[in-house]
Amino acid sequence: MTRDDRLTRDVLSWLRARRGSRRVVVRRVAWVAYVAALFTAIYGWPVVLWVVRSLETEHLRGKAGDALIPSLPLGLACVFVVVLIGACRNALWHGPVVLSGPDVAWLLSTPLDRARLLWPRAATMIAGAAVTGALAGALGAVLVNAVHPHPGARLVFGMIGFGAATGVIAIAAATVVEASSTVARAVRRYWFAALPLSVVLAALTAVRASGRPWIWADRVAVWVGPWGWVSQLPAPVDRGSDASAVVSLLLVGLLGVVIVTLALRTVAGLTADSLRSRARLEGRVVGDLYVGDARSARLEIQQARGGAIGTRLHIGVPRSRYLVVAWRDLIALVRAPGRIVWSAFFMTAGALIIGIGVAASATHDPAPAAIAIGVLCGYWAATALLEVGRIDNDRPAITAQLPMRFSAIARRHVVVPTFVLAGLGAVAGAVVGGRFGASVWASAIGPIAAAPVLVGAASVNVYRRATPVEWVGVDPYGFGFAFVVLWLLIGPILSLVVLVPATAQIFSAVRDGTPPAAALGDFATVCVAAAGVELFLVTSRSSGRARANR
Amino acid sequence: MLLRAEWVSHQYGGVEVLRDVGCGVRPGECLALVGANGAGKSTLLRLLAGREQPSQGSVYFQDNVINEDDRFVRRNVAAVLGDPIFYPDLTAREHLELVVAAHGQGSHATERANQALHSFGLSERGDELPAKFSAGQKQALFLATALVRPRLLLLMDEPEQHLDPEARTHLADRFRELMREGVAIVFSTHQPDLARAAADQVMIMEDGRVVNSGPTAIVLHGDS
Repeated sequence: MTRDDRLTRDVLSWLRARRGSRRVVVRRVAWVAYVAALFTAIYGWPVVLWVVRSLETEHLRGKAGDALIPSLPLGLACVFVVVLIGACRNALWHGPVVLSGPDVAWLLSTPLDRARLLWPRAATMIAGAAVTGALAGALGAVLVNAVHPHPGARLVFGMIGFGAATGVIAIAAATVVEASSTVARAVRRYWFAALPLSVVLAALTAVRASGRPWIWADRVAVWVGPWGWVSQLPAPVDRGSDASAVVSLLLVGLLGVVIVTLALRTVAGLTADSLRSRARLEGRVVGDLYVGDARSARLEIQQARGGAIGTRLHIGVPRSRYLVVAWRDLIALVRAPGRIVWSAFFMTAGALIIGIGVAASATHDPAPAAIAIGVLCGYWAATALLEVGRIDNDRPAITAQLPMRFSAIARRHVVVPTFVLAGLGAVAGAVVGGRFGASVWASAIGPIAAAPVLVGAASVNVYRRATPVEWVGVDPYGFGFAFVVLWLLIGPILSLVVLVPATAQIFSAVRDGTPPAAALGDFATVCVAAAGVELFLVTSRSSGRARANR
Repeated sequence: MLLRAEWVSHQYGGVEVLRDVGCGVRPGECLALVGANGAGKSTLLRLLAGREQPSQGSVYFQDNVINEDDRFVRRNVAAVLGDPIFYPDLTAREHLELVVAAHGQGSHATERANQALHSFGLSERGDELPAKFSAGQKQALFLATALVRPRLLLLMDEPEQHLDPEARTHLADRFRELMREGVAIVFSTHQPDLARAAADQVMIMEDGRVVNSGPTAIVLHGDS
């Protein structure tokens, strides 16, 4: 052992002793887990019960269970690819191995052995990913259990193994990306090339779930890369034979050993500059999240990644002053078309979920859970279109040279997003409705009527003041915490309260013999009234925001 | 008087930052607020812009209590207070076009924007995002957004910051042009030179109080 090794060992053990015993750490973790469990027990159990009961209907169990197991290897392969992409992209700006601010300030400038300093952190992150992945796999097993009549122990343990293996491989790969500038450069340039793979896997999953038997393309897809080896742990391709399960298990084990070894070897190469910038960024993001400012945290991350993908398309300024805010919103959307893509994605997902809910129901009445998830997708679609409103709300002084009141500008900011969302919703509704055998025009009109409600609810959420985090813990009953949650989730809650019963009413009215036009008319009336209330809330909240910012 | 403040006092969290301040400007006049950091210049400008209401006293714009939310005030008072802020996805020209069009002059928006860019030396950078500008260029664009729009009153908090000497001279020239057009100007500054070059009235502030005021030639006589 060299002098530097001894020095490193002594300093690190001294730091460990100074930072408290392991028992203290365990006690802290246990306390956090206890508080989380308590809150879940008090506030979460009705939701959990509702979801599980919704899933456990016999009708859904039969249909979904039949479709689930055969499509599981492809579906899980898709999940693996998405997790891997996410972890590797995260490693470009953050990474699994991040030192704390004090460690960066005090330890990096000392002659401590970098490898000995970073190995324990890398190993802890990989082990943590294994545990988290296993828990996620267990949760997946619970869901499989809810829809499949006979899941079997192998499938349950396989799901846990899949989660753990995915976590380990993804975090180890991310560590390599973080530590190697060559790998990081390659990921930065070519990460999107992996997207088509996930799309192909998702498409094959959907086709397989519709009942088509296995074809050669499915086999190639699951054997050609590690995504398929991992996904065969719970559901081997050849269910009758153990051979594929054994081979896939061996391949996963080999891959895990190789990638973890590589991660631990390369992590010592992390430069002080990289560790410093990552620690600084993490400090800022954690600070933003601590005060409930998720938007600032997202902007910090986006900036660290090199900004959003944008265009330089130009739209001429309108002659009428009444169109100026709409022009501004339109420019924001054409300059960052990714927002429209996200919005289209969520609108389609929402329509699809409600469509599946209708198809899965014997009476063509979708489960409230399906409608709720569909509405939430619609809400997310709306939030993607409201960036300019958020920028204004961050710093109302940015509108100082405009002659309109801040609240008037806020109201006008809903116009373009409403039209865009209505258009996207109409297309998504018509396509999905047609696919599920519903009336195309009725499926298109529903989202058009819902668009003002969704944009209005998202705008109510946009024009809020800083989150009152000081309310957390003011009382022993959790009312302060509940108030803060309500404060943060007012938009989604408004969407759900208005649209879930109204949408359910359409289906039950049609089932009872009401003409679809009449049912949609009632739905549209409710939506218009709710949008009016939301516009009033936007006006009052934006006025308050402008006053508070002065 | 176009704008007048009468016995204005203001507190932040119980701390008095302004005490019994009075001032006013007529159309075509320019008043410079001169003082060290913490003298109360920025607070006074915020009160004059109607962004806050004073704890005591009143500020009148055309004989009505000023309030930033008032439509007439927003149309006629251009205030450049605080740090320059811009939309991340609009170019410099589009920022100016937005302001001009919002004031009902959309048919001249591009022409007016180009003129403003030219007068602040930003012609070459009109199609770039302000995020890529230097601090001085950002400040110039920030000033341009207030000068490109119609207004009766112009309020500016340390407009000279980050500007190079040439741009400061241009700013003083621009102020004099605006005064000839009948625009009233109130600005704060650390630079007696800018006050001497542009203002016809000066108010010296210290610890939230007015310690001297009057015509520039008299108040700043011999002050370097």
